Amino acid sequence: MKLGIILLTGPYQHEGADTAYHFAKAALARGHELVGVFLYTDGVYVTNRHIVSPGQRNIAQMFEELGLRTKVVACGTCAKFRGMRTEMLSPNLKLGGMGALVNLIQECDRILVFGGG
Amino acid sequence: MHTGDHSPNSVHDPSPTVLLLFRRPPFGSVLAVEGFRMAEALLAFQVPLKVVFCEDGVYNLLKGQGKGALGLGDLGKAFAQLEPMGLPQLMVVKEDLESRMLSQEDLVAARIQMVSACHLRSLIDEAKVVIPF
Repeated sequence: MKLGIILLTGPYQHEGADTAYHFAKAALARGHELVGVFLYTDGVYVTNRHIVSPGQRNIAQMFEELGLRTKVVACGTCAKFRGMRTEMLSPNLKLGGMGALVNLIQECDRILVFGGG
Repeated sequence: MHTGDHSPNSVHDPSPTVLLLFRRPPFGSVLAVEGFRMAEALLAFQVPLKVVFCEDGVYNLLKGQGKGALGLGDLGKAFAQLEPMGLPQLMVVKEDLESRMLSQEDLVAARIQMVSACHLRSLIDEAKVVIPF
């Protein structure tokens, strides 16, 4: 099955980012195709390569690893509002427009949303 | 975690219906504003879209929201302006509006369809993607 993920919550506030990552890993392990991940609102913070997490899992590195296996795109406008710049991004992760979200919705059989209202 | 339609018909649908579900009030978090921004973008890309307000999300459509000292915008007016962009109507869960002692007269002037909580369940079932704000 072709799957897509939308993440609406940032790292270390709630567990949405962790759950999205582990879901993605489990789906890939079961042979599903993960078409992409779209990061929206505070979800864009998982792209920050400057995250340091002494003694804890590093969520930026987790998504960097995910970026090797699928497209991980953060909403560029959300990033601007949060002071994120391209040079702050972890390798394999990109900023993009809402067109990336539309493509993801159109290409996938199912979209799963983590975080939000 | 939220998922949308699970019917085989949704597979590789080039025109999937996206349901934006506004559950949170206009102030207190960025969710409603970001949901509005997503609605604008999806309409610009001509993605079939339904917008439903339920629970405290019904407050987003209250008329007369002032900017106040915080300098925040009037989301009610903003949502009303989605119609000329191609959104046929806004939908509000009737029970949630009434349980907050509100009626349609309290809402912004827009094409608003009152739906039951039961109907909301059908809308969620029919949508390919449900994104909650």
